Amino acid sequence: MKTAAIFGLALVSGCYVPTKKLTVRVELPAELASRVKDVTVLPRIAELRRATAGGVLALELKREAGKVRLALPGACPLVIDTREISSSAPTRFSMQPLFDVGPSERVVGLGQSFEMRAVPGCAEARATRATFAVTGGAAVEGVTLAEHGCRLQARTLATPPAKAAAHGVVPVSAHEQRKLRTEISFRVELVGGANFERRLGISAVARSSGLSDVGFAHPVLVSGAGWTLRDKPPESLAVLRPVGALFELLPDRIGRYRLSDALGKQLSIQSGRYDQMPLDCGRSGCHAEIARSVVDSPMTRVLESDLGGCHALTDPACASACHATGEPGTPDGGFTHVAAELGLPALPAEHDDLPRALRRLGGVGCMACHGPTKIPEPSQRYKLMQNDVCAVCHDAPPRYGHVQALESSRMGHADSSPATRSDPACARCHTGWGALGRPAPPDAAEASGITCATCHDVHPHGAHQKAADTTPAEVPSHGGLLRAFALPATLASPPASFHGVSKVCISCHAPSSNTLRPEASAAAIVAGLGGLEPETGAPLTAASPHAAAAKGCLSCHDSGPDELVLGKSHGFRASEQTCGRCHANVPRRDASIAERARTLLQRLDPLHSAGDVGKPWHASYTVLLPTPQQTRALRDVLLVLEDPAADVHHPSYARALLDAAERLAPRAKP
Amino acid sequence: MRLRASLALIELLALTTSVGCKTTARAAPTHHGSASNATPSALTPLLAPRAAGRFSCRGGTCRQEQPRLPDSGEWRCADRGHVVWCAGGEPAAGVVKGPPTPAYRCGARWGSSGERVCLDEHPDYPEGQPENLRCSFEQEQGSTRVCKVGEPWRGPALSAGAVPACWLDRDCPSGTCDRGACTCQADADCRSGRCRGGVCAEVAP
Repeated sequence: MKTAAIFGLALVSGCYVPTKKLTVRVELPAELASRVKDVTVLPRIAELRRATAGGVLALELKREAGKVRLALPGACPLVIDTREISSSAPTRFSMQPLFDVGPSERVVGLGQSFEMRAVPGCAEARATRATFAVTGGAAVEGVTLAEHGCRLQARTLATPPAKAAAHGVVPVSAHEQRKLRTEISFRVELVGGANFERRLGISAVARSSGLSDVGFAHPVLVSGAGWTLRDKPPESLAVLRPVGALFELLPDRIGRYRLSDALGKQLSIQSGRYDQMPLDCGRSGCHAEIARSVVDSPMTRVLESDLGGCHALTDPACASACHATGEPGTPDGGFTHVAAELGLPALPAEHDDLPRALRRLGGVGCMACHGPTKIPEPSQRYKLMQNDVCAVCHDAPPRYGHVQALESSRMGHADSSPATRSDPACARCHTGWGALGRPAPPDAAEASGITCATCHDVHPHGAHQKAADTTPAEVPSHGGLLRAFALPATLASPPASFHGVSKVCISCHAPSSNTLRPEASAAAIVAGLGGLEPETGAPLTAASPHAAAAKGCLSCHDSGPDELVLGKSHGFRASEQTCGRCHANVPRRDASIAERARTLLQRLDPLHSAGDVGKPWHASYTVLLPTPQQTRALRDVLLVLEDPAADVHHPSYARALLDAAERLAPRAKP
Repeated sequence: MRLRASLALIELLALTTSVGCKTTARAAPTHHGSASNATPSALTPLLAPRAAGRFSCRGGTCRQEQPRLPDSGEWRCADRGHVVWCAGGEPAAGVVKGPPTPAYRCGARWGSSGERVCLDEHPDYPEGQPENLRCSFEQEQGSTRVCKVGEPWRGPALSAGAVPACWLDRDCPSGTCDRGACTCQADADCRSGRCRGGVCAEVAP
């Protein structure tokens, strides 16, 4: 009994002695952040507890442990002497990579020499074999390896991006940048046979929207003849460097760079850091309505909504370049640059855990499209409506093919004829600026067709508020952002399916009024609306067989280049396969309807139908016929002719229109 | 025989004690974070990303490019006597609003519609002694906190619980704003109705 009591007392006293603890925070290099759970602590007995997240390891260690060694393949060992830590507050440490090879991405310019160097971070690095190698992507020239493979020198090619023909700042899409990006690997053979590889990228160009408002240290390509740099910020050493047929300017100071070309045309390029721009755009009296409209925009929330997804700061395949502001690989004060400045090894899983500076740069905010400095000069503002602004992210096929699909469509080239840009009546539907009632761009501006911004408004405000009757079921995956165009008078009461996403199509694909010249009539034919009884002028209508298709026009016109994964629908193609979704036996095309319409036109107006070859009917017809009855009959015929797919959209309505016109058409002379 | 028994007992006691000691500490975890799942709460706050940038020091001047500010909105700030105070708070356009920074206490700016004032009574400093530093904010291009070695500001410490209320002197009924708080001589000088240590203070809990 006595002995048992002594044992018990001894046990209790033994347990009572508390273990003194200390806590440390260890940050890993960004490239090893995903392997934070693999950090080993020796001796193992020294570790009491650990937690990991976002490339950070929090450790509770025994204070009496003495020297504790933290190890991770690819990193220099970290030795912490617990007896030397006097503070009771958590102490911060950083593990260094075995080799410092600099940032994962670098933008160096066209035809520029570059060097990659691996600097050993510790003695252990010297015991390993490491080497750079060019592994893919754009070719580089003059590749040399030195220092046992730890130094690589090469030069990017002076190959201009595809859109180099524009005058002024050359736009560079994500697709164009990728074509000019060289993949380099840095491979380390660790002691014990394990390998560690880091993938790096060298881009010859920075993405560009074509605006003259550019990120700091983004190489800017300028197209045109005889450009010279007239003025630059104080202390700037920047030069305008000829690169093939282009010029390249690398802003080395924040501020304004003034250029002039051989004809004396001026170009002012403003360079700034994204993190230095105030975000007070919504201040009352300025853009308050726009600021309110973007609060819940999918563009604003794109980083927040998928922060746990693929957003590694060091993996070029991840989306931190397009779900945030700025150009990775440049010191532009953008998201990845500031993340590196903050020493962030990896992004946290929760948006609320992002540091303030990164919350301001996360998502596609104002500066992502408008640039990091000032509003462009009035003469250049039309560029904001061009596809090049969206192509900085939405032209990255095959994954993101929205811009490629649109530019493959006829809409993407709707203003290729100069007349469509010079006549306001044509520009209303053949140009984006005309459809939106914006000022015409300068004459020298290139044709741009119907652009992304014609149908989409990333910050709905003013006359083109987001469609109030666009229900979630009808809204595509991008969450809408569609403009709310008014329906034309001829389609004031269309089928319900026309009130959703189709609204943006109908404003141009239906006659704007009951005049002689019915412009593009596809939506009217589909809806069975727009025709007139020639004798009385009463509306000639028919039930629409395609009205039940929930997404209206886009129920069928939703295809594009086969190779695209996302955005294919922006090619707006319809095919027999599309029809097969509903029709077990796909009806054959009926060329007789269009043929009959042409014959009727000849009978109604023999003089006119002989001329104006090559123009659409609505662009050539201006003549009224002798009687209102004949004029209405002619209109019914033109409605059919204006829709090349009338035989698909609504064949029975097309025939009814022609039947009505037939009653007024003089018999053909034998 | 008795001596033997005593020695055995002593050995047994030592063994028992040492066994007891060893069980106090947890077993070392596996290397895949299993320990972190057990009771991570005490360590979890340590995992948060840095809220502010590092100081970069050269020649007696340290610059912090991304200083700690009250939230993701628009702020203008000042620093004196180891207190940072900021005014503003307009939401940043095109930005998902985040939580306020815990280090700041905020209140409505007196005499202004919609603006707020926030106080950080324990701002961060570069390594070393903050007593020898004078810090300020440069706000021409973004916000940068600049600390220089030199004679620090000599003045009374800001009274604990000072209510964040002012940016300019004219915001205060007394006509004097001291580091974001209005000075006072009596409770009647304060909209909060409480004057303590010469500045308007939070209403007592």
